[in-house]
Amino acid sequence: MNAELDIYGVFLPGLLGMMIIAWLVLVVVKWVLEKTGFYKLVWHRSLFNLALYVIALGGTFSLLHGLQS
Amino acid sequence: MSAFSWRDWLFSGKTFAAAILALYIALALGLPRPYWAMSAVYVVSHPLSGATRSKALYRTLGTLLGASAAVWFVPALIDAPLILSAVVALWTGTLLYLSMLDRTPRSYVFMLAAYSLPLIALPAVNNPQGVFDIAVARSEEIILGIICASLVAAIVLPTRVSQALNGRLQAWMNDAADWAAEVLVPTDASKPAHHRHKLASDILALDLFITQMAYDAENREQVGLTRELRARMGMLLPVLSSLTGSLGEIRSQHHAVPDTLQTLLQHIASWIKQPYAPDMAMQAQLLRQQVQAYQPGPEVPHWIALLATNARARMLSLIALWQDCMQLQAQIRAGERDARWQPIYARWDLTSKARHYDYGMLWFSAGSASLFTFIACVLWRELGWADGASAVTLGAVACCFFAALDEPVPMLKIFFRWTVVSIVISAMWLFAVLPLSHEFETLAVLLAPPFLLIGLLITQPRYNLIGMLLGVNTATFLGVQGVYDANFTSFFNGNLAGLAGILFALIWTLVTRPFGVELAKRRLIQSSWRDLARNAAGDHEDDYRHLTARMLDRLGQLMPRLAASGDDSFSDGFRELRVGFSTLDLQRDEHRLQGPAQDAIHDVLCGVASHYDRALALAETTTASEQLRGQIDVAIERARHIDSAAALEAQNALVEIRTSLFPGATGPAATVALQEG
Repeated sequence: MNAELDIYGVFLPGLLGMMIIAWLVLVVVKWVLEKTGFYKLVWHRSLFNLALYVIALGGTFSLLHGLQS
Repeated sequence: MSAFSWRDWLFSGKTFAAAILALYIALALGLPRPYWAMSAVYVVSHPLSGATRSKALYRTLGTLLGASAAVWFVPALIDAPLILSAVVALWTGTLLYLSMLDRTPRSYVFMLAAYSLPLIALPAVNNPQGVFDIAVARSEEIILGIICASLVAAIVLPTRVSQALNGRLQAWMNDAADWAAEVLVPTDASKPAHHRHKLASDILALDLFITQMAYDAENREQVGLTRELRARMGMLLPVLSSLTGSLGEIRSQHHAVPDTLQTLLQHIASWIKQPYAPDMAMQAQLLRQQVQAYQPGPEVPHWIALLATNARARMLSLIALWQDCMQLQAQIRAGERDARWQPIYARWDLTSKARHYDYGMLWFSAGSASLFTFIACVLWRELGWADGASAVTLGAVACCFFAALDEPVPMLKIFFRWTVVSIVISAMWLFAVLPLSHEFETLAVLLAPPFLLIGLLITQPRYNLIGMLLGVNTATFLGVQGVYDANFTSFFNGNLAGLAGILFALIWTLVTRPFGVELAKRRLIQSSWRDLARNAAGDHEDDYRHLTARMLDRLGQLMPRLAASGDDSFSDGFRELRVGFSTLDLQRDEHRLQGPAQDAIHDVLCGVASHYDRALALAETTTASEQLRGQIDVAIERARHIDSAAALEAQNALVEIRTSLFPGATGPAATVALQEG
């Protein structure tokens, strides 16, 4: 999983791409949770968001991994 | 130094943990300069997590901007060092100017971009191929440090801006209430100046707070409410100063305030002193009715009656504003907007965000920093000093940091002094303590004592800057690397160069910017005269909204300067504000009146315009002419005989202008002794 992304000759680690995808996912999920008022039930919002991000990143990773193999 | 609370220790511990985390990750990833990550943590850390986050975002953007510029310019201009120096200097100056134009935390983007270019470009001059690596390393490490700082700040027991907000708001409201009560029922003649200076600087602090709050995701509602509160607190300034003026005139010319008025004033003062109660709207309504019903009795002399009528209008405004403020504060405390709430005060639209900028001064200080960078670059090249790059960069950083101040020299002295201290600390640690450690764990333990103390300093507003300087410089000077390779010669060479750079910046600033607060103050007041003259003459392009916002903002900028110089003989700033609002009133009413009254008001407006034109031409406060006073008296007399709301407003505005421009003057003779209808 160490594939590098080649953007016009600048090599970026593949993990960076996944982090950005996970972040985009997080933005959408956060927006939905905000709209539905879910955050009112959350005790520690930042910690919750961090956990959510780790899940999103892990999900992206295994999804891409699964697609490749 | 006050004792530290557990919150201060918590902050210090969190910051240190974030710094060590950043250092660890940077070392583990094998980044070339791990200490940049560590110092970045100390730069962005702020006791309030929203503030950390805003600073973090802007620092990232600024660094990326500066780094891109370095990658762009250095290889292209490497063969023309003079042009490269000029480009670096121009870039620094221009971005510094942009950063000073923006008085929100966003200015940090431009500030950082301004000095990131010299920071990255200059060390790369001897090795232009390396510039990309340096730029990438700096960006990576700063972003790493920033992420660690904001993550730790947000996750581990965060202190939200909104939590701190309620306490601060209460303190500010108390300041305002104190001043209002003092104005209504004075107890000590020396106090008012102190109170209003305090309130004006409170409002500046509130502005900063609001921008930081916007980064605390949980309180969108609160941010909006606080903005509204801020606008109304700003409006308290002209209302209260106008009340001070009218009541002061009544007291000095009539020995005492008429009894009925005095009782009303006491009622309002005690109402304002009360804490918030749910039924305050009803009380306010009652008070308003009482004030509305007040008529100066027939025994009161003509001019005193006019003054009292003016005071009555301001009292109504004061009650409405205060009620709005209290209700907004209650909603902010509850964290929710009450959908049914409607502001009572609706005289002026308070939503404009127009600000006053002194473009000339901004250009000048940006130009000074820019020229400094250029000269330092040239000197460094001519002297052929190997370590001179850090002299230029630290000097440029010092110039940029304090460019927005009227008197940067004292700050630069502090900068210099505490850089010396941090060199001593890092020398001690680098050569005496750190050699004991062979693992990361022991390194972290050994670094803890100085950095925990530095973190504590950051929590104290007075020592905040010193703490930040110590943290950043010590982290940088220690230069923790993967391998311990402390070298006494290179350590002192590099750091002496840095000190020399700051010293040069200090001397440069002493030479180019010796003017201090006085000049800034004068320029502020003169620009308010210019606004007044243009506004009274009616050729102002802006609408009223922006003009009122700008006048209030200018006053807010003026207050700390007046407090600093302790001398308001030139102007206290409030007089211009009162005249400004009154001319706006008159312009609004002018169109609603007809005939001779309208003509008379037009004459007064022209008179005010020419008065301020003259003051501008002389660059000195002048006494207004007798002719203007005559015009005002005629206009008052004409407005008095028209029975309409607009005429009453116009009459009050005219009385206001008269008391502001002719303080202590006895009133016009009551030519026609008619009581107003």
